Amino acid sequence: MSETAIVMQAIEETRKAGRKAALATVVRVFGSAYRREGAKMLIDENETITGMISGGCLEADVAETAKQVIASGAPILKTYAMDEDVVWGLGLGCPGTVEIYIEPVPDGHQSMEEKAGDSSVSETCF
Amino acid sequence: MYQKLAFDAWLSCIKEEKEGLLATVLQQGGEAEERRLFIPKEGQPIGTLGDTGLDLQIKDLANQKLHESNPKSETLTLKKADKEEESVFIDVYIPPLTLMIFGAGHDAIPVAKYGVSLGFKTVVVDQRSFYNSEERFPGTERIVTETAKFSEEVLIDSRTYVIVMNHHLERDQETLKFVLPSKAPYIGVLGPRSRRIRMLEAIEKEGVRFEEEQLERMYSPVGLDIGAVTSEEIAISILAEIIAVKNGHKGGFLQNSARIHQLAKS
Repeated sequence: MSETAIVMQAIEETRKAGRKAALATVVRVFGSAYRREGAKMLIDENETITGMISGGCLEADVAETAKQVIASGAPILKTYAMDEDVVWGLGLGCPGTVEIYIEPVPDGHQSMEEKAGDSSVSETCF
Repeated sequence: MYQKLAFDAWLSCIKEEKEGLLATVLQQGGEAEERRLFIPKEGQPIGTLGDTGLDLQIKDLANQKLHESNPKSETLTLKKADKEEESVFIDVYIPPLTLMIFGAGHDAIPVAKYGVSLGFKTVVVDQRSFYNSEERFPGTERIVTETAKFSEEVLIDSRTYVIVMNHHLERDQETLKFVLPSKAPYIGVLGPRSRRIRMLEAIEKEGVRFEEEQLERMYSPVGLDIGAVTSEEIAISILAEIIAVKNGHKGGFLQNSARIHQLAKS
C-alpha cells in the first residue's frame, strides 16, 4: 500500500472510532528536505502517529502543534527554517526550510451512501 | 459542508486508487470554514475555494497535472478575481504504478518483496503454480498462465514497469514478443548483453521486427551498476533503476551534486 493510502486509511479508522485527529502535510519546501510536498502525517487525540513528514526532526513538534489544532479546530501553517549548522550540531541532519500545514480532520458524519443521495452536491460543480 | 464533501471525495478517490487532485486554501486559524476543491480525473469536481477565479485556475491545473506521468504536489500563490493573492496547496494523487515480474524463480522473490514494500502494485506472471504462489510472493497479484495466453490474460499499460526474468530462453523470447510492443515505459531483461542480442536475433528470424523506440525501453543488462551479486543485491539494483527511470533521473552517485531532487515541472 502506498504511504498516502496508509495515512488515509488511518483517517478512516480514527473517524470510525470517533477520535479527533489532525492532518499534517508538507506544503512547501525550500532547499533540501527529507520529505517533499505532499508528505503526510496523521496525529489523533491519543497522540497516535501515522506517516512521517521529515526524517525525524519535526515529528515531535508537529505532534505538539497538532494537539492545539485538535483542541481549537483551527488550522496552523508552521514554517520550520532549519539552519544547517544548528541542525547538524544537534545531530538531526535535515537542513532546509519546510512549511507544514496542520489542519483538523473534518468529521465524516455522513456515509458515502447518504452523500450519493444528496442532490445538492452536484450544484457545487462547475 | 461542501468542503467536507470535497475532503471525503478525496479520501474515497485514494481508497479506490483513482487519479485526483485536492486544492486547499492555506489559512491561519480564524476563518470559519475550510475551503477546498476536489477534482477527479474522471467525474465532477466537488467543493469550491470560494472564488470563481481560483476555481477556474485549479481546474486548468488539474487538467494538466492529472495527465502527467509523475505530477508533483505543490503550493501556488494564485490571484483571486479581485486580484488578492492566496496560497493554495495542490495535492495530487496518482495510483501506484504496476511492477510486473515475468518469472517466479527464487531470484524474483526479493524483487517482488521490495516492489511491494515500495508501494508498487506488484504482479508475478509464471505458468508454474508451484512456484508462483502467495507463500513465495506475499502481497502480490499472481497470474498463472503460459506465454501463449499472455494477450488474453495479461494487461500492460503505460504505467506498468516490466521485468523479464524467466531464466528460460524461449520463455523470455516469447515474453519479449509480448511486452516490447506494449505501452510499458520500462522493460528490464535479466542476463548479459550477448543473451539479449541472441534473443532479439532469434525473434527477428521469426519475422518479428521491433522499432528503435521500442528497443530503447529495453534495459539489458538490467539494473544500476552497483556490482550486485546476490539475488537481494540484484533486486535492489533493478528497483533502483526503476525508481530512477520513473523519476526521470539518471542513477549514479549523488556525491558532490548540487541537487538531490529534480525541480517540479511548472
